[in-house]
Amino acid sequence: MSAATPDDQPLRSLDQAFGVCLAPSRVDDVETIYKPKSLHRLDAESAKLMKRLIDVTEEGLRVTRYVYSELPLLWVVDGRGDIWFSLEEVVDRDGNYLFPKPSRVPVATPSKKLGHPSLIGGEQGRIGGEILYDTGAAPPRWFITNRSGRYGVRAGRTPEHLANVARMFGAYGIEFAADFYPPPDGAL
Amino acid sequence: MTEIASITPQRIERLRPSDIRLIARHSDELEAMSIVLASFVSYLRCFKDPTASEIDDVLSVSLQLKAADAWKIINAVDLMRAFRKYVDQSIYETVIKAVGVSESKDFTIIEYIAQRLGLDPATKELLPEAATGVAAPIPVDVVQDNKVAIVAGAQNTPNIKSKKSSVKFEKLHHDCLKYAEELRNTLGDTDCSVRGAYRESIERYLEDFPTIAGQGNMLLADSEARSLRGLLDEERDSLPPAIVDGLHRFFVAHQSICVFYDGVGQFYEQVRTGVLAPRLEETVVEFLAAIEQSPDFIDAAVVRAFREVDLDFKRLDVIAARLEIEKAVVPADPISLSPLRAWHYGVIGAMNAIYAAYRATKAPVGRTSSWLLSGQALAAITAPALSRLGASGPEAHLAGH
Repeated sequence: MSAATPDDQPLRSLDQAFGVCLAPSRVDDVETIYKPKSLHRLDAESAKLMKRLIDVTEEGLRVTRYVYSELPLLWVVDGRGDIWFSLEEVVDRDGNYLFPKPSRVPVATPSKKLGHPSLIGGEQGRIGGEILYDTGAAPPRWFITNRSGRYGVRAGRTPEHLANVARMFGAYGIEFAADFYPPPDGAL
Repeated sequence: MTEIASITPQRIERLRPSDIRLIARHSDELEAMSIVLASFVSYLRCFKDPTASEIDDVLSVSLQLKAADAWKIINAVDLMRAFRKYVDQSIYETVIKAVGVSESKDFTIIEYIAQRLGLDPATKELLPEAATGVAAPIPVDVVQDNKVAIVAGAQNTPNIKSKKSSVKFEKLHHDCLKYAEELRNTLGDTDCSVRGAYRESIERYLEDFPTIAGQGNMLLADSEARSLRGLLDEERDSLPPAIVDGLHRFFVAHQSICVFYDGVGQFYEQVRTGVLAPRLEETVVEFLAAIEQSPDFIDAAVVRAFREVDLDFKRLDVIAARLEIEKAVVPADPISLSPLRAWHYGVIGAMNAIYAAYRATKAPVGRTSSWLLSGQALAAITAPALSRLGASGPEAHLAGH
């Protein structure tokens, strides 16, 4: 084993904070070619807009409450530690945006759904999951979860990794309750 | 209950944290969980050649249900096996890999789910497969009333390949029966000084002798013939010459007729190369208790036949132990038989055949759980013995239960 260099330090910190980078075990072709139109990287600018959405929903705007209760946002932490988020979009064969994927609406061939890997070009990623407004919670509120089979519930993911992502949003004043789902016993 | 009814197939796909808490609150309730898991099965049925993204969704939902303690009430593997024919293979594998195997539970929920969805669960998939290639001393199968019963088989139906062969069989069959009956009559005479064991044995032989195709059991009759051979070896010098002659005639005829019953040869072929299973006495007791407790699924005649297999072959072994039967041949025995191995193979072959037939019965509506539990009990008794005989039995499959 080679000795650790100063350059390794940030990587190790990222591994510790958000889990090691793992390639998705399965990827659809479109997920490596197209990115969602609604994609954002979390930064000061996007966080400012996002916070307005969060706030207006919490303040009682029913329209956004019920939309984001059924249409969760996807999020993934990439290898550099950046957080990406978007809607789960359905695209046509040329990658043109069609609509956000509601539950139980079959995606007719040749349309395809852009899942978590599409947020980071199908590359290796750290923890991932969903952001949603849970109208059934008492009281109703925003949640962040690790509900992503390809990044979020992989072996080695921990509640702490999810909490760290929530803290990253929190740094911009965006507050989420974290809900962690344990990975399978065997590594997938 | 109205609360949990909100967990529809549509909702299952998008479980929110509040839904997971709701399911967890009801995770011990059979009916509530049947709603949840019926929604899950219904959701899984939607996928045909799923994409990576869809498999990802199924994995996530499976784990969310795990976080909600939904698998406390039923082993996910059992649920998936029961509804396997309705679900894409990759979906099936994804759920099992995600959730893993837990202890077997009360299977009643499978029936609840099936009723809700109008599906026909493959309950037999929840029982390990019986071993293949193990010769059975008794022919059993499922009959019309969904019961395990004695049927026609290679043990009681002659294999006649030609008209010439048929003529020969008819003559031998007639002779064998005639000699056996003559022996019984002679041994039954009040003047006969021969001890009662001979008469009892020939009477049992005649009870087992297949007088018509599909009835009786030539292999069990053969075990009685072997008992008689053992007795004769022991007491030949003190027996009246007429009895010795009668026994000789009978043995020759019996050996000739056995050739027509494939079940006899197949069985002894396995016995010849067989090994011994440990603790067989205890296994027999346990298996007898298990089949006696399943009268709705296993005919009483099957229980009697199993008991007879045990007693007949064991009796043979006791006599052999006294006589070293393999050295005593009157007339020459075409089969070099180890009586102890015959007993082991007889009992275990019968257990495997009864279990295989039981597995082929259908779980009755409303009694899926008891049917499965009885089947698991039979499999659990049969598997270790089969395994020791080197048969490819249900052992590996059982490990998942």
